[in-house]
Amino acid sequence: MTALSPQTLETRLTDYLTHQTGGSVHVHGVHPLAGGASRDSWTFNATFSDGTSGRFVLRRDLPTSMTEQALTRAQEFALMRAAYDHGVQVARVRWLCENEDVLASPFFIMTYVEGISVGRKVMTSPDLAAARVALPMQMAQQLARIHTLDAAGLDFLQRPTDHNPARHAIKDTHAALESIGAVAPALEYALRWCERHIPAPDRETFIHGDFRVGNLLVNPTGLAAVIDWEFAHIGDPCEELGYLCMRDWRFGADKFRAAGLSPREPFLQAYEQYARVTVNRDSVTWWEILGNIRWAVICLVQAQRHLSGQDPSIELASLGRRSIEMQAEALRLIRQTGDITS
Amino acid sequence: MTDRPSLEQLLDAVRMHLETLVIPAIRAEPKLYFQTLVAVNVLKIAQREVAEGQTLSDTEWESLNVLTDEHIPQPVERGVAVEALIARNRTLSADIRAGKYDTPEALTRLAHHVESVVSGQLMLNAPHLAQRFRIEDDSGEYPI
Repeated sequence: MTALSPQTLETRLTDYLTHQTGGSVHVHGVHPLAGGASRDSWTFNATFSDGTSGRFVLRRDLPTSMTEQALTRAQEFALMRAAYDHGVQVARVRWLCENEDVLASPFFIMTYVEGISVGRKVMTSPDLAAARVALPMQMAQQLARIHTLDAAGLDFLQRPTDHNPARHAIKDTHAALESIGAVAPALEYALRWCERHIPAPDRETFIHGDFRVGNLLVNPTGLAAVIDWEFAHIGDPCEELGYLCMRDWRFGADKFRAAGLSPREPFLQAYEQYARVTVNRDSVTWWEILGNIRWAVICLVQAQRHLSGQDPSIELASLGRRSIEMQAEALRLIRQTGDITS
Repeated sequence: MTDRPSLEQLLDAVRMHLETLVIPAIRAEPKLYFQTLVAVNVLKIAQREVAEGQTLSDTEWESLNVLTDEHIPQPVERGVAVEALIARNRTLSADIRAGKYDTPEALTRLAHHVESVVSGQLMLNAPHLAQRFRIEDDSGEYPI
């Protein structure tokens, strides 16, 4: 992928938006946005021929993706539009461009939403103290809404085989381990435990797929927007509830299992009220364990990108050694279930 | 044999160089700054592995002998021993997946083995997390 300078982006975005809107557009204030291992994000201002103006975010593909399951920009655009129309707090997507002649790779443009997404900052910034109090209920409310999104028009979303998301997830994880030839008895043990304690299939709903602090824009009053939808799929909503309980997504605030912000039980009760469902606690724990296993495997897969020469990087290399953290956490959670022998 | 500085001391010299000279000079370049912090952490892992890696491998080998009820001697030559350990773990992984450890007694022994091995590797790769686990275990106050 060609690296683009702010000046080049300014020129090309001006041409693109002028063509799209049918009137002259002035693009200015182009700045890169930090974060995102698989996307290239920029913010810019645009003034239109009718005198209106706004601030926008450009999201563009990078040459390698975190996993093969990530959505394309066109797919992400479609589901963010569906989420917006469904009343989810999400940035409004405006323009999609799949013509690589414009910016060398597909991109879309959405309305800018002010907020902080960096997990450690969200968890520690004095300016966000009130937000941290409000966030658990806001997250429960947003998840309840996300899980009722009608995915009928989103045929590209991955769906679990045999309507069994848990079994599907185990199979995928085994396949990922095999794909890199990883030898990890602790992960095999943990996966075998998951197989023996597999939860009964429950509801199947639309799932964000990476819902946690770090993928939320947070302002002083709390949740401003849910971002990073590229891992959305159809699955068991307990997967999403267990995922945000993972220790790594508490960003050092280990004590509170629900995203490091709240004890798990009141969070789940709030979700139940908003979603009008009953949540199986054992299933949430199971998905928290599997979430740790999958994150441990993804770390190994990422390190393989470095080792294979595909994407040499000290960050990717170091991720391989982080795998043991999630392996240890999975083993602890299994031990804490009090049931390792059945 | 060239051992002044030793391998551990050489790694420490690189780490000191990065921490005292390079990192302060690149604070204005966020990505490079972050990547260099990661590199320092990788060096610290390497230092701990130089110091503790052999002991951990020996312990894992013996734990495997106990788990499989075998008395296989560990190869003396380091490279051969590493390959042999990988081969034994590959066999163990396949056996676990095939359900060969599914009896209560075997599961108890297997859990003890993997927990012990992972605990040692955690100390080497993420001592901060090992410390947090120890505090939780000592106090009995687990995340709620």
